[in-house]
Amino acid sequence: MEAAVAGIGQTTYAKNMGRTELDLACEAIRSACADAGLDVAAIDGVVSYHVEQVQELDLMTALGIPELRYMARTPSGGGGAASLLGLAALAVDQGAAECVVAFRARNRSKTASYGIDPNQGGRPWAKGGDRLSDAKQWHYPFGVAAPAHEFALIASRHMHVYGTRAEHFGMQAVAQRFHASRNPDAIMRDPITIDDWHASRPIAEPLRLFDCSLENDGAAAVIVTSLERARDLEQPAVKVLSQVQYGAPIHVQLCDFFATTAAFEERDGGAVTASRRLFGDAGITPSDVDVAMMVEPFTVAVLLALEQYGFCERGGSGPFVESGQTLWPDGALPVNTHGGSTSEAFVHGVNHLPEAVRQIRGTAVNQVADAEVAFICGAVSDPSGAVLLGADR
Amino acid sequence: MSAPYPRPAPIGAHDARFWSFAAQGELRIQRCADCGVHRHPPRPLCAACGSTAVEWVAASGRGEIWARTVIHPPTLPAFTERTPYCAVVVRLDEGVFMVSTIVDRNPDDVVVAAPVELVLTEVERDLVLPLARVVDA
Ligand SMILES: [Zn+2]
Repeated sequence: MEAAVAGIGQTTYAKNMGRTELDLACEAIRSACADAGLDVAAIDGVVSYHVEQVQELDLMTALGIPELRYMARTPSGGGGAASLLGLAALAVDQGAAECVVAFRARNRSKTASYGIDPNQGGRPWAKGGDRLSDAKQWHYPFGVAAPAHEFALIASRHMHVYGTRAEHFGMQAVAQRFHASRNPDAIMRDPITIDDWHASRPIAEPLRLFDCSLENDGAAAVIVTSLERARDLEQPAVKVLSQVQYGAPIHVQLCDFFATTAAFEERDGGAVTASRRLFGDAGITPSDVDVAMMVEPFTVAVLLALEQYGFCERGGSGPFVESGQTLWPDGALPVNTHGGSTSEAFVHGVNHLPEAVRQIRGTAVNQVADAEVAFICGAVSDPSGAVLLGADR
Repeated sequence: MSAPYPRPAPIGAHDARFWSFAAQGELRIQRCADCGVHRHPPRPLCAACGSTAVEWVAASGRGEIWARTVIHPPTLPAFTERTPYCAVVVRLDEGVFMVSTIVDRNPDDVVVAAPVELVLTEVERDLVLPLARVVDA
């Protein structure tokens, strides 16, 4: 694949910033362009989530982009984080556009909201209404209304099938908080111990407060261009080695999820099949990966991703985390070295993209020594995807 | 008094049939009239063979707890006064899955793999839901 990440940008991450999503998106995109040494007018492609509130036309108007040749959106919130980068890289590789920005902007603090659209902020269950016409009719009447409830049910199945313990999820939360404690951009920087995790509020058993992603505002963006052009720009080019996208059942439709998921059964599909394509296309194996960003609305998603993408065996993610393999600096595969969605910020996982790029550039605060290959995946509980990034040397 | 339940108000005919059967005290699910595969939630056609011919057959209501959680902070107003409560995913003997709530046990006593029965229950006026009861061996 002939595409590379040339620029990364992000806003401050904080609660209740009082800024619109367009405002946040423009800052992150301008910051990514500045990082790359590109004029904003060079952007000719835009990739975003289907839930994104910032419209392509608004970006053209606000940023002064004269012409867009390529626009694409990817399904699912946190599932699509890596796919944003994947779609941008495909467009560049295929010649559909030369300079594509992939971004996400959120104003979604607990009380902040700029409208009634279910994707526009506030709590989803407060916007579901009293009359349920969509998939909510199979969840809400039974009190299952928050993503935490759905992920807790998924986690309980993993525990039953594989003997995973609740505190295995907590151990990943502790690891990510340690990473965030050294990251000045992270919202939650006070280190926690597993005892703190045990003492934290249960949200939906087995998940506790520290297993949950944050609620905050912010935006992040990456700029993808050809490898050749990226080499002439400001930063060292970070190569996109391969990308995959896949359809898979989603946590908001649990009846279908449990009927078809590859998470617990010895079943192909979803990330299990996609992983073979991802590593096959790049000509490497999971053991060649130096650092991983795994989008996690809840910590259990990291454990599911470790297994489904083949970083450990089926059912082996609990012991993998317990033995410190996901903890920087000594783990075999440091995961979410910026603190992830539970400690740096929740930007639907798009804050994981700049961190993977920093790791390959060698500029991360928790830098994995000589990182050559970085892995990024969206939340495996959704239609999702993954990307491998590599150093240009 | 608790806030009212959020109510199913399906716009699709297939979803509506499930709830209208439930309102009459019948737990029925879709079965492909050509290949016999059960499906739920309702769908317009069979994913196994593509047939749109469908029968609404009585479900056994029997199954096992496939997944289980105990929910602590209230989210939906209707459930505020009963937190913590136990929500489950049930795998029915027919092979389909349903989300439900356990009403007859202390949440701490509810475990994955326990046999359960779905019982249609009028939780408030004109709202009948399949709630789960643990079946003692
Ligand atoms: Zn059929």
